[in-house]
Amino acid sequence: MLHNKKAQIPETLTWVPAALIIVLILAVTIIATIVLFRTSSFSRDSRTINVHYSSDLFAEKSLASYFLTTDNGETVYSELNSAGDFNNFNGNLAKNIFTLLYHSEYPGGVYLGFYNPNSLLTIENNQYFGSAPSLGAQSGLTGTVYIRQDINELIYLDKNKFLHLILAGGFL
Amino acid sequence: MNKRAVKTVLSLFWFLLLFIVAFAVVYIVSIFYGSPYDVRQIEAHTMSDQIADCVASQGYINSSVFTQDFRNNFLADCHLNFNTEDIYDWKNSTQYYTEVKIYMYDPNSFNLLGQQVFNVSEGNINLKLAWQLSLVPKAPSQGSSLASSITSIFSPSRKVNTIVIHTTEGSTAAGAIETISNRALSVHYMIDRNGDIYSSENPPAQFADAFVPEKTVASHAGCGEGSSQLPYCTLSSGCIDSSPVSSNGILDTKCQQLTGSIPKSQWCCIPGFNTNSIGIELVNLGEQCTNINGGFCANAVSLGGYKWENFSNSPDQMNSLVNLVANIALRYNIPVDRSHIIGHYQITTYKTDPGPDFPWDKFLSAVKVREAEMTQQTGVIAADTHLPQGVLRSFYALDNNGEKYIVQVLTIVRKTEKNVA
Repeated sequence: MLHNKKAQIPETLTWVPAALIIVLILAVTIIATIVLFRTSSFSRDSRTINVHYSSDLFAEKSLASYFLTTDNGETVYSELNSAGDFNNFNGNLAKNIFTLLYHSEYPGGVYLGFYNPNSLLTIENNQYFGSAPSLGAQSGLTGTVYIRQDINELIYLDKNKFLHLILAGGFL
Repeated sequence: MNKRAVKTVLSLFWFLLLFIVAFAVVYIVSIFYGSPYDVRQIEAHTMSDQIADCVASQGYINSSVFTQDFRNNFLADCHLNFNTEDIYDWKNSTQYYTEVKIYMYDPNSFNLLGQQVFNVSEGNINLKLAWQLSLVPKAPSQGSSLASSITSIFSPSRKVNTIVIHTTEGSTAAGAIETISNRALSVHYMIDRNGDIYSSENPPAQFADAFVPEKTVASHAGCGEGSSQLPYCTLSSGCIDSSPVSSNGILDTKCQQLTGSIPKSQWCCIPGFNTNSIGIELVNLGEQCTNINGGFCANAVSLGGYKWENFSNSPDQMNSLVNLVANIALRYNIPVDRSHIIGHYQITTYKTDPGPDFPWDKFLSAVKVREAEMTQQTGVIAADTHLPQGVLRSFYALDNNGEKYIVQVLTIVRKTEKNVA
């Protein structure tokens, strides 16, 4: 049939208008969609998006300044690096900064402490922050998994020790 | 049926299918985009991060921040432009507000905020107030849905019909909050001198128990307990004459002028006001100015040998109080009059707050006007999504000399069809 030019004429006459109509319908659909739903104003029905932040710029800035704070001419970072533990000055400073500035945003708990990858008890308790809050997800009664907004940062001190900042948020 | 008829029927079928597909596309799009996603909180977060990066980097506050040039060109220096979208007349009514405040680091303050050393703001200041009101809890649900019924079983709603205004009798919010907490008292709201509203939504870490949500009875207007409990006022006890209790059940307003001179043996109190009231504390020295000269007491109001702090010291505080009281009165349908919006002194005879300087008539008039404005602004109360979304965050930073600071960044985004003037 393809070799028969006369037979192709009615086929063409069918599909050209059909294609045009299809394009027309799609165009009308798109235009109708734009016209009907172009409003960007928020209403009572608006939905919010829960974003799972994996870092917290404000906490990181606080942490950087905390490390650079000097105590008797020595930075907190070098104090922590050499002593491997908090002293009265940098422990209380850390507790003040991270607990008071971030506790309300992270109801799951705020923790700054030491992490030793070679130790069985990898996350150590300390007198300023106590024990580290648990991280990750939680299962619901019906098997639903709730993801928590946690910030979990490891800061290298030396090959055997890291400083571990945990900001445990609420469940999404 | 001939071949041509079959073709026609088939064509019609395919077109019908096409229409069904087109309708489905529109329907699915309507489901996804009919009610838009509210990304204002994310936008406010992004803007906050941008500003934080602009103010401090590598652990230090940028040296240019404290200059006048930075104040003048804050938006440009931080690469922000509030006029990029021009729908709903947004360009003429800015949909953003941002504020950066830098405080000295004070480890003795409940929020580490010491003396403020820097302040810059840009955008629509009205959004700040609207955002603060958005933090005010909603009135208990009156609906009869199963969810609200279950909620009401576990947290029974109470009928709020009175707003009690107090003063903290101190110079700072931090001190007042600590005192409230240490004395096992509580309050619903506290308004700082700069107009900031503190509540159970953002309680300070050590003193979280100082604030309770509206649905909870606070301990702010009681008569004491045990040996310190005051006798209940009767018609023959109390202040100015033999009828201290007015017809509406609160102490006569004239009591205020004499409470300071009432002998302790005659102190009395009207019970039950905690149950149905919302307590608002204003950071104000109040009667403490009797023993203080200068500072906040420099222009104190004198009466009967006593002195009270002048409320003209804190216009932003009064503005926030007007808005907060209008908001609460509207939500709980509380009449705006002196029987329902009262001072602490009208409950306990030895209390004088908020003091003789408190401009009751002017205040109630302003509340009525604001309440009317809120009612007209469809949605400010009824549809909470019309309220702006904001983010208030802080970080610790150093200057180049190693001085410690707390940088506070507030960003608010409104972007709704309904504008704020």
